[in-house]
Amino acid sequence: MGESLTTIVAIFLAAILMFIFPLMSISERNDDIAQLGVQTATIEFVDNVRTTGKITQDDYNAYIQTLAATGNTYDVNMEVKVLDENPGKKTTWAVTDKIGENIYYSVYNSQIESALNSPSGTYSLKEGDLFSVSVKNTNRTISQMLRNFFYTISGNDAYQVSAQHAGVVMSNGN
Amino acid sequence: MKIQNMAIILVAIILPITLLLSAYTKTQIDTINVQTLYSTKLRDATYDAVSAFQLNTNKNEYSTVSDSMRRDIEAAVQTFMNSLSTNLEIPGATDNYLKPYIPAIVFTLYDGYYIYSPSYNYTQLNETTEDNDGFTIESSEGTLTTDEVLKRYSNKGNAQYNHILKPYIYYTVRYAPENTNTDVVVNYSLDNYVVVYGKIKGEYVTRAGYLVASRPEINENEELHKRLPVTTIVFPDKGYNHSLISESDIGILSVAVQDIAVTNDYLLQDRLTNMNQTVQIKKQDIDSIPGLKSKSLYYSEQYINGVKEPRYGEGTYKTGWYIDPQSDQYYVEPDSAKQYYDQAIEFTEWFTQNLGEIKASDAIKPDGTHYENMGDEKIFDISKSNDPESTKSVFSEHKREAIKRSIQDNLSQAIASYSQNSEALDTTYNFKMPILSETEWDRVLTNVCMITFMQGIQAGTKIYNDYAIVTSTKNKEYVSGDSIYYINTTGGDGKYHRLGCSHLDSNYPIVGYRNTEFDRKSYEVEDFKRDSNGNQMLDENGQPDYQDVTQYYYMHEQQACYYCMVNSTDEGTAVDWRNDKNRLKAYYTALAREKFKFYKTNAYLSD
Repeated sequence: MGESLTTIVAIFLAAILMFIFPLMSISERNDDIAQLGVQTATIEFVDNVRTTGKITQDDYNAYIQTLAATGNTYDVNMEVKVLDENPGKKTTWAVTDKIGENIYYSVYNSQIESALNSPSGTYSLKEGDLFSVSVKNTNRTISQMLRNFFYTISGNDAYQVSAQHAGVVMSNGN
Repeated sequence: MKIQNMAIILVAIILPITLLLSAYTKTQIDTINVQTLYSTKLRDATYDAVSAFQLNTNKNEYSTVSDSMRRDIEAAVQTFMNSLSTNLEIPGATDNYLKPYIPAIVFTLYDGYYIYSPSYNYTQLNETTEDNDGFTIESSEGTLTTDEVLKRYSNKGNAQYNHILKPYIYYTVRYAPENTNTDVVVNYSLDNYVVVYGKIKGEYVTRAGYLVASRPEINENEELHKRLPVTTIVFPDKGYNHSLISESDIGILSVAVQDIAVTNDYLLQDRLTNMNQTVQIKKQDIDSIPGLKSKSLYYSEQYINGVKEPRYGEGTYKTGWYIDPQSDQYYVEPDSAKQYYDQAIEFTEWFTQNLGEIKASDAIKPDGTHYENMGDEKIFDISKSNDPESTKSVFSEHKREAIKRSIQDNLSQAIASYSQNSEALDTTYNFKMPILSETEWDRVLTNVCMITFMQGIQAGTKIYNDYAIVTSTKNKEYVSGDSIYYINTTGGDGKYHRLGCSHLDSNYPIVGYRNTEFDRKSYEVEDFKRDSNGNQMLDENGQPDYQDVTQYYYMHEQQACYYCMVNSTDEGTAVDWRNDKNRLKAYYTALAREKFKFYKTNAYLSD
C-alpha cells in the first residue's frame, strides 16, 4: 500500500518535472517574445503616425497583422487627443495679458476606425495633437493557462502581453 | 535505473538550459527596448529642436539674414543636445558626453543647407587683415605673418577638433554644355525660385527670379486685413504738421490692437495716419494715462517762433496712429500677386531663351567631371509640359536629384571624415551615413527640415545606429501651398479653413494668409506697477512707477475650423478645390503674394 502511494506520487512529480516545468518555461519565453514583438510594433506604429501626421489604413492593418502573428488576440486602444486652440484664443481676446489655455478633446477607436474605413482610408492629425496606443492580450496564453492550473490568477486585468506608447504629433497630416 | 533518478538527471539538464535561455532572451529584449527608447528620444529631441527653430525664427524679424540664421540654428542644436541628454535616461549624460555619438546634423533650408558636424577648428586665430604683403592675423599671441599663419594652418596640432556649424551650402549645380560659351551656376530652392550666375554665350550674367509655366487667374488688387498693436499718440502739432520730430515730442495715449486694411497708401506720412482726429485732454487726465512715457514734458515749456508756449496742457490735441515697425514686417502691397507674375513671366522668358538648350547631362560635379546617368532632357525649357511648380516635371525631377546628390555627397563626406578623426573625441566607432529611403528624401526636399544622426552609443548588447527626420511646416523660410489658410472676407462662418473644406464658402470672396499669421503674437506696453491688490505703486520719488507688460494678440480674428483645421473630417476635404474657380484664384493669389514678399538672401545677385 505504502509502496504504491510513493510510486503514484513519484509519477506525478516526474510528470510535472518532465513535461509541465519545461512547457511552462518555454511558454513563458514565448510570451516574452510576443511581448517584445508587440512592444516594438506598437512603438513603430505610433512613431510612424507621429512623424507623418496621419493614421493610414495600410499602416493600421500592418500593425494589426504583426500583433496577430504572435498567436494571441489583442485589445487595441487608440486615442487621439486633439489640440483645440480656439478656447485659448477666446481668452486672449478678452484678457490680452493672459496666455490662452489650450484644450484637448479625445477621439477614440470607433471614430478613428470609421475614418480609416472611409474612401480616403486615412485619419489626419495635426502638429501638437497627442497620439497614444495601448494594447493587451485578451486570450489566455499557454503560460497563463498553466499558471492558472497551479495558482489561480483571474479577473479582467489578468493580461500577460501588453504595450503602450504615446507622443506628440510632429507634422500636419494633410 | 529508477524513474526518480532519470527525472533528476533530466531536471539537471533542462534547468540550466532554460535559465540560460531566459537570461539570454531577457538581455535581447532589454537591448531592443533600449534601442526603441533611443530612437523615440532622438525623434523627440529633433522635434524639440525644430520647434525651437520655428519659435526663434518666427519672432525674429531678421531671421533670414544669414548671421542671424546661424544663431537660430545654433540655438536649435543646443535645444537638441539638451533635450537628448535629459531624456535619454543615461545617468550623468551631458551634451558633451553625447556629442561624440552625433556624427552630423543637417538643416535643409529654402535655398541651401547647413551641416553641423565635428571638424578641425582654428579658434585661436580670430582676426584676419589682408594687405599687400599677403595677410596677417591677430591672435592671442600677437600678430602673425603669412608664413606663420600657413604653418599654423597646416599643423593640426594647433586646431581643436569639435562640432561646428559648417558654412551654408547652396543647392547649386554648374552647367557647362560642351562646344558652347556657356558656363553657369544655377542655385535652386525648395520651390520654383532660381538664381543664375555665370557666363551665358560669353557674357557674364547674374539673375534671379521665379519660374512659372503660365499665368493663372489672380486677384490683382487684394484687400488685406490684419490686426496690429497700434499706438495712439497725442501730438502737439504746432508747426510740426504731420511729421514726427523725436519720440519725446509725443505722448502715448494707449496701445490697442486694431484692425488695419492694407491699401496702397497704407502707412504713409511717417507711419502716422488718422491725423484729423482731435482729443480733449484735461490736466487731471494726464496722470491717469498709463504708459505716458514723456509725462514730465507735459508740464515743461517750449518756444515756438519765439513765443513761449506750454508744451502740453489742458486743451485740444491732435492724435495719430503709430505702427511699430517691429510688428509691421507683414506689410505687403495689395498688388503683390500681380507683380509676382509680371516679374516671373519676364524672367521665365529670359531663362528659357538663354538656357533652354541645356540638358541634364551638362551638369558638372564640383571636381569638374560629369554626373552619371543624368539623362538628355532639356530641363530648362519651361513650358506647360515642363512646369517647375509640378513635382512631376523634368525640371523638378532634375532639381530633386541635384539637391539630393549634393546633400548626400557633402553629408557622407562629413561623416566619413569624422569616422577617420573620431579618436579626437574618444570614440572609435566606424561612423557611416545610412541610406535614406526615397519617401524620406521626399520629405526632406519639400520642406524645411532637420535630420539628426546618432551612432556608436552602447545600447544593451548592441551598438546603436539610427537617424531622425523632422520637417517644419510653420516657418518664415519657405512658403508652400499647404502652409496657407483661407478665410471668407465677407459672409462665411468666421473660421479659417483649408482650401478643400466645405465650410469655406465659394460664393463669398476668399483670401489666404500664411499659417504663421494665425499664431499668437506678442507686444509690450508700459503700464503702472501694481501691487497684489491692483493698487498703483510709487517709486522712491513718489512718482508713479512703470513696467513693461507683455500682451498677446492675434493678427486675424478668425478661429480654427473644427472640420478641417482642429480635426480632420470628411467635410474638411469634401471640395475638389482645383476645379473651383474661386478657390483656385484665391490659392494662386495668396501663394504669389506670399512668395513675392518673402525675403531671399541672394536676391541682390539679380541687380
